[in-house]
Formats: sequence, structure tokens, C-alpha cells
Amino acid sequence: MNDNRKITINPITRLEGHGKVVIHLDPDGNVEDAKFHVTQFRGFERFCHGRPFEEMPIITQRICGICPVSHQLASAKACDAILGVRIPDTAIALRRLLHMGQFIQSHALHFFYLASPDLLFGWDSDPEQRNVVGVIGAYPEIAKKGIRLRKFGQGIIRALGGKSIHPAYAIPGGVINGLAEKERDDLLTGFSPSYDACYTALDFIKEWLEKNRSEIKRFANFESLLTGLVDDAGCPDMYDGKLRIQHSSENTRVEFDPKDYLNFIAEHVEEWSYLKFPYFKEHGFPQGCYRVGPLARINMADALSTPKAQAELLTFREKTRDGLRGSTLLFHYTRLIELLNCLEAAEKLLQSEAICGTDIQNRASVSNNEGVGVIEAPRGTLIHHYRVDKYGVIEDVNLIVATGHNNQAMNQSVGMVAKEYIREGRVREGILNRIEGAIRCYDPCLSCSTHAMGQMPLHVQVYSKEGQLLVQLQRD
Amino acid sequence: MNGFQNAETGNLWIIGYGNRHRRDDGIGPQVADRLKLRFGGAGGVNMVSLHQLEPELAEDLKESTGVIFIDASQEPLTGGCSFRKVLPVSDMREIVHSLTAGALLGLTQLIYKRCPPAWMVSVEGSDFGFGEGLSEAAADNANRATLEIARVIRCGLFTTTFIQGLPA
Repeated sequence: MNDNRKITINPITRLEGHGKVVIHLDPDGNVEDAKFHVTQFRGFERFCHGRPFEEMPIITQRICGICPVSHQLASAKACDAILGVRIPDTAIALRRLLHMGQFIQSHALHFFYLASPDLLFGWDSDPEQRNVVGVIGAYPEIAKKGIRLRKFGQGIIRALGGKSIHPAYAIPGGVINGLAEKERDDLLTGFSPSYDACYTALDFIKEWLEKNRSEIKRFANFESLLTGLVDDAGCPDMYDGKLRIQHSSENTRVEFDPKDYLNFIAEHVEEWSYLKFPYFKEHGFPQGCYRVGPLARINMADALSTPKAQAELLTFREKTRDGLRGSTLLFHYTRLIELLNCLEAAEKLLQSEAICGTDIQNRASVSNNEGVGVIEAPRGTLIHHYRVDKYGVIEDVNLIVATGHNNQAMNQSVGMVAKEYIREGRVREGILNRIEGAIRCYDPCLSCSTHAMGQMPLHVQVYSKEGQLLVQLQRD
Repeated sequence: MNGFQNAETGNLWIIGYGNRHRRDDGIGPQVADRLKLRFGGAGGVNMVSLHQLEPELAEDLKESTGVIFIDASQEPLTGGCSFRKVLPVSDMREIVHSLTAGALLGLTQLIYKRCPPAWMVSVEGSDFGFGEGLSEAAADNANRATLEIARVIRCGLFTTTFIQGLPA
């Protein structure tokens, strides 16, 4: 391929982890192909072999520094299944509260720190200003609210787990400690400014939507399968429930117990990325690829479980009824609706009687040689699946992470945006920013999503500077 | 122990940060933990042990009367620890994954238009490998740093107008 017709964006900015985008142009300068390459490699699925299963919540939460709680909770649920226990109601409430703290801080981080520069200044604005520092300078009140909101979410995590990054909290059978009444009361004082910050963001995003309807409609707007956990009422449930896969417009819907995910979901591997491609088996690859995360959860929700968020859901559906709902840019709007939902859910948990209870752990021995734990992380569905021997020693690990579920969708979004904006070889910085922005919408966590070793097809080609193939190596 | 309770002590923040799982890199949080045992629950002094500095601390620091950061140093230091003034940085390109003390102060200044006086207490470490707990030499240095910071707090030496015992 002639290098003059290849555009590379490396690294992609304002997202967690490392990836690159390579765009191939045809001789007329139009986009022929575009790929999102994940260049990170971690190995968790392999090096956990031989560890006692009880260590997994502590080990796997270190996959990531942004969403450690998600991994810890999914892992703890998988360990609960190995023990064969139902954990006490107070422990469930406390885990849910920890989870809501995670959602609040993660969604606040993404909107205010990572996404807002593009939304506030515009895709084509000066890159020197189009960052969080620029936001602080030009919109200080918005910046302050974002900091306060993220701090509140981290405060919930810290109150329970002792620290905001890699807290030690959820364990097999329950949690490590309870919540004192004074700590609960302190947390309850933080909701008023947090709702204020959330509504500031929601008001902004609605205004932004009205001003940018045309671009939103053509920005990686496509129908797809959607996946996420739902409760019995069809509301997204971030901690538990049935796993639902449904199409955004066709009459396709299936719901199943998450522990049976392998009957419905498989993973495809491509040689050019360390990130695998999960898909719905019934539809095969790539037709069975689906989206997860805020856009998926909100679009497939029958309703939302809290009143303020439910009202915003109805507003969102009214504002997007003219063919906008598949637009990748609407991840930003739906993320804020979820943020409101999680604030309300956290407040309700803190007001519940169970939250300061003292029955926080059930103990048991290994009862099953297999455990699956599934939750909704801020970025989407997270699956931890362990197999152990009779002593509880890990023999096999399978992790399917939110960003992995979105891999095909991210590639499709990159391709669509590239083809929409690159014509006749003309590329300017704002267009490259839009391509990065297409990935950024998904709030990908690339550190989480690359984790297997030992069975990875790898194709290495070495070319001379004249373009001659010198050596080729392949491992299946 | 009355000095730190006087009106001039105000709202002092002691922030020890570092990775406890990399041996002597955990000096910062360990010193903060020890100070918490001595002064925890008392008014006017906030002691925090962190893995790393976070932008959200800016909201706490905006109203503080002063900050003492505590971190491990890989460089040799006379007496095993050093004290130096920290100024806010104005180049915000330092706001990356891991925030420096100067960048945090710069962020505080940028957002809230004020920034407290701040000092860095660097404590010499020697073993930064994987593992928990301080090496013997680092533990001695941490003890010295703890005693010195405790002296500053106890004597109410930390005021908004005049600092004794710390570099101006």
C-alpha cells in the first residue's frame, strides 16, 4: 500500500489506554478502509492460572485504574457462584452503592474531562485550547461542577473501600466492612450539588443537540444489536438481572441468565488487533456484533428505575425520534441520563434501612468448579468467568470487557466517520479529531479490554523502505 | 499539642502519596498514616494518604491555609529527607495521567484563582521493587520526616503569614 494514501492517528487522545487508527485511501483519495488497532496487551486471563480464586477480586481490579470497582464486583460475583452462596441483603446494598459511586465518578470524568472540550469548543477548534485546561479557562463554572461531581463519586468509593483507586471491598461471600451511620449521613449531604452538576450537563447537551442535529444524524449513525442487563421490569440494572440482546429496530430480542452467556456470545479474532470481537452467535460474525454501554442501555430500556431519570428518558426519546437514536454522538447524552439514574439510585440506597446493617458476609467452601459474574460497567457489560479445581485454584479465566463488546461498533464508527468527512484525499485536523471523537464516544477502556495471551494469531510483515517484503512470520 | 489548634493554623493539609505495593514508594502514605495516628480527629489538620495526586484535590485545597506534600525520592538526600517550597506550575501540559504537586497547585490556581503555600517533604528510599513495607533505611528516614512534620504541626508553626522551620 502506498504510504501517501495511508493516514495514521497515533496515539488517539483523551481516552484511557493506547490505540491507533489507520485509514487507507483509494487512488482517488476517498476512504477505502479504516481500522481501529488496539496496541496494548495485558495477559490477565493467563497469569491468573494457579491463583486461589479468592484473590481474583483483588487481582482483576488492577486491570484498570479508572474502573477497578467494576472488575472487583464482577469478580466477586463469579466467586460467590463458586462458593454457591447468596450474599446478605446489606452486602448487596453496599456493593450496589460502591457500584453507583463508580458510575458517578466515571461518567463525570468522561463527560467533563474528556468529551466536553469537543462539545464546548467544536471539532474544528484550536487543539491547543480543545482540552480540559481549555475548559477550565473558558468555562470555569462547568469545570468546577465536574470536579465536584467526580469527587462525590470517589467519596462514595472511599467511604466504603478506604481509597478511590483499587479499593479493597467486595470479597467472595460479601464485603469487608459495613457503613457507619455518620458516614452515611455525610454522603447524603453531597447529593444536592451533584444533581445540580448533572442537570447543568443535561441542559447543555440538550442545547447542543438542537444546534447540531444535522451532524449528529450523519455521525456514525447506524442500527445495531444492543446488549445489557435488565431487571424484571425491563429497566437497566447495573448490578444484576437478565442479559438482554435486542435489535435497535428489528423485532429481535432474547433474554437469558448471564451465566449461560457462552450459549449466546462467541468471540472472533483478527490479526491486526489485540482486542477480540464478541458477537451474538445466532447471527454470526460480523452481523451479530452489538453495542453496549449508555447508548445501548438507554435505547433498549423499557423504562428507567428512578423518577428523574425516567423523565429525562422520555425527553430524550422525544428529541431523538427522527432517526437520531443510532448516532454514536448520542453516547454523550445517554451517559448523562445514566449519571442521573445512578445518583438517584445511590441516594435511595443510602436512605434504605439495609445500608447500615451489620450482616455483610456469608462464608462457605468451594461448591462449584465454575463461576460467572456479570455486571454493567460504566462502559458496558462486563463478564468474569472462572473455572477452578476442587481446592479453588484457578484453572481457566475468560474475561469479556465492555470495550471488547464494542470493538466492531467502534471500527464501524471510525469507518463511517472517515468516509463521511474525507473526500479526494483532503484531510484537516478537525476531521482527524472527529475520527478520534467517534472512538471517544464509547469511552473505551483499552487497558481493560486486552488481556489474553497464548492463543493469539499474530502476523508480522517486515518491509524495506522501498516497500519490498523482507520476511513474514505467522503464528496461529 | 495545642499549637495546631490555634486560629492561625486554620486548614492545613498533609498529603502523603505513593504506591504502597512498590516498597519505598509507599513512604508518603506511610508518613501520613503515622501523622494520622498522632493528630487524627483533631481540628484544623487534614491528613490524607493517597496512591497518587488527583485533580479533585483542588477543591479541597482551594480553602486550605497550607499544604505539605510527602513523597518518596530515589535521589540521595542529606539526612534522608529534604524540605522545599513548591510553586504552582503554569504550564498545564503537566496535567497528564499522574499529577505532580506543582501541577495540582497550578490547577487549583487556575480554577479557584488562589493557591495555598505548599511544601514538599521528600524522603529518601532505596528499594522500589515489588512488595509491601519499607526498607530499613527508608523506615528510618520516614521516622525522621514524621517527627519533623509533627513538630511543625504541634508547635503551631504553620500559619498563613509566617512559617518557622520550613524553607520560606
